[in-house]
Amino acid sequence: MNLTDVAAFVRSLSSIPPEKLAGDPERGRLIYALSACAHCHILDGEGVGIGPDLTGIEARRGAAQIRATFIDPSKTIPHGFLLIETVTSAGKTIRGIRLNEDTFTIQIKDLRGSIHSFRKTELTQLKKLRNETTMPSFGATLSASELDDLVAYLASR
Amino acid sequence: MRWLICIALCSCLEAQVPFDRILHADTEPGNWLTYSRDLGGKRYSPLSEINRQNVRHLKVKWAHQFSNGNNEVSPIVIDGIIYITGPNTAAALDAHTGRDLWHWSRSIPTDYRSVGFGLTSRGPAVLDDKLFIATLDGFLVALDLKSGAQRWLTQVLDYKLGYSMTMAPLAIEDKVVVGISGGEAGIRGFIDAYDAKTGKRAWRFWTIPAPGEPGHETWTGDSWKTGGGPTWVTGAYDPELKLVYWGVGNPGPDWNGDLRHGDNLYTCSLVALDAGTGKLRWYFQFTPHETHDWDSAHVPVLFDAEVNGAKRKLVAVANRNAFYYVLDRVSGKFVVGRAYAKQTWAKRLDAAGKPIPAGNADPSPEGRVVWPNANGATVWYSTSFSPETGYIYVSVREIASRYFKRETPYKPGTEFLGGGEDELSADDAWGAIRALQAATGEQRWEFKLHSPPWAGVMATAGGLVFSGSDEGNFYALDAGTGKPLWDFQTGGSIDANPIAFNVEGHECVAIAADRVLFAFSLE
Repeated sequence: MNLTDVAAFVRSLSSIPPEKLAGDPERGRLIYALSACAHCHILDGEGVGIGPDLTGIEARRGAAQIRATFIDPSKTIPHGFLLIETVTSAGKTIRGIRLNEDTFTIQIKDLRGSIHSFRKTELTQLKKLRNETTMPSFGATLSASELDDLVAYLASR
Repeated sequence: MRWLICIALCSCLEAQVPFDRILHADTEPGNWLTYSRDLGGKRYSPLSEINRQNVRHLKVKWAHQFSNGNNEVSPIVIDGIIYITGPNTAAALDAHTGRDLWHWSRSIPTDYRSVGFGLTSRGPAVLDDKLFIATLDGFLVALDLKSGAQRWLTQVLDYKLGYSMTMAPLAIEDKVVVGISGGEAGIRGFIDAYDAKTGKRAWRFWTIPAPGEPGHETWTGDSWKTGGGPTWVTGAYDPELKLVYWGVGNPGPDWNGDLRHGDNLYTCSLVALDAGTGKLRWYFQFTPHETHDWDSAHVPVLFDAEVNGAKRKLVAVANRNAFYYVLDRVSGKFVVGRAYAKQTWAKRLDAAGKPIPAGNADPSPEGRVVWPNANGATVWYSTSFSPETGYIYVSVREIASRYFKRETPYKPGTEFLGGGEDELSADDAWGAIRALQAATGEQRWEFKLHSPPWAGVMATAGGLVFSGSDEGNFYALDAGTGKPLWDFQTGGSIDANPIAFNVEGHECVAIAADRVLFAFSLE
């Protein structure tokens, strides 16, 4: 396969018809608002940029994975969203998403969106919470049909 | 003005580097006259102005922008002038400012293909009034030190067969020794020496023996013709023994050993060659019948130490296969060896230094997870030996891969791999600088790195160890304890070896970080 073939294949992906979904996107819009998703996510330019941008998320992840994330978000943590817990030498604990790291420093965005840059020598504790996320599970608080509605809403954006 | 006068005087009076100067490099610690500073591969600077007490005050003196990225150059420094190379380029820089004094380049042919490595050049060599550069398209070029004008050019190899040159040449006595790249292209490797005055080839040592030569029996059928054995990292030289020590890379195809049964000499070996004739004096094979791409392409470190009460001439190699070896450099006999990083392919080394296979480590069609990964527990960059601590400092990579075996047809000038690897998750990989007792390989300290490094190490008489990280940190550790003392974020991945030199009597250290050569000093 040469580069032209690869390019043609990639272009063809955009013409695949969208997946047919069971939920109602309009009801999903209301659930999105009531569940406070915008406190951590941006959708169509609105919200807070702590978690992944949800605009076009269905095209990137697919409906099944979005639904699975609502039920158990710790199993589908996306690349670049490693949760970190630090304790400074002054005894202050800060949890947040790792933005960057090298041998001597680490940069973290806390759950209010504030950026912290630390020399590692300033920290008494630096934990990488590999299978943890601050996103709650909606498996117990939303019904199956409400989850479908939420997926349908995100897929429509 | 004072600088200009100095440079002019240096150009007129000092732009001569007879071999005697390189031989006695320790008498002029402010210069860096050969790839590893000394012929023994130690990459140790006797300068001590920058030391444990004041290194925290180190600042950028200047930055020089290269015309390409991913620079791996280890510069030469002669009396206030720095000589650098890039892919088919060379330049002289003012050590006070980093400004170009002259520049040379040679076009890379449009049909040139880099098979298995990037477009890079790890540095020049110097002898008498010439600077020597090995080009990607296979030429050894001698330039006039003062002007950069081409004095002579000799074709070493045919790049259309997959050969190339990326290493810094090694000037010894009246010759220039070069090795070649191409271990992923089914080449047959060699080491060459050329007359420094004329460019005429003095000798060639083939790393894969031909029919009738000793060692040929370690290959099956015609596999020797495409057996690899590249020699792409600069070697070392013992002027008393008149021996050249050079590492030999992986066999071809890399990951499918079914096509080349046997030990596959002299791949993954250290060879000791007579400097006058290129004849093999001895060899030591680290990884017989190697199937993970663990080239033994390393700068060997020559040092003397007491072993069991007797003073011995030794050579040490921290190998890509995760074992550290000490050999007798007169005879090539194994002295001691031990793993210095995680490895899962060998149970241990036997009394002769031969690995005892752990089993189930060969690549397979389904894939097998093995430590280390194909780039190894260390790779081409340099280790450093400090005569003050007696330690060898190794930049270590802790990372595994899933190795696959595939069928592979040979087509000249293209990939001849026989498989591949998938590296395990980046967050499960890490790196370290480890200090090993040179004579025994016992670990004395470790400084952990965020990720597997691509930078070499330089120890200094200031009690420091300098190195770089993949995330761009250039840093100094306490050579005795590994405690971090200073670091600087360069903004570019560091895939190079540090050097140290003097400018107007004051110490500088320099490192290439992606597109920039940085020089640091206390002033």
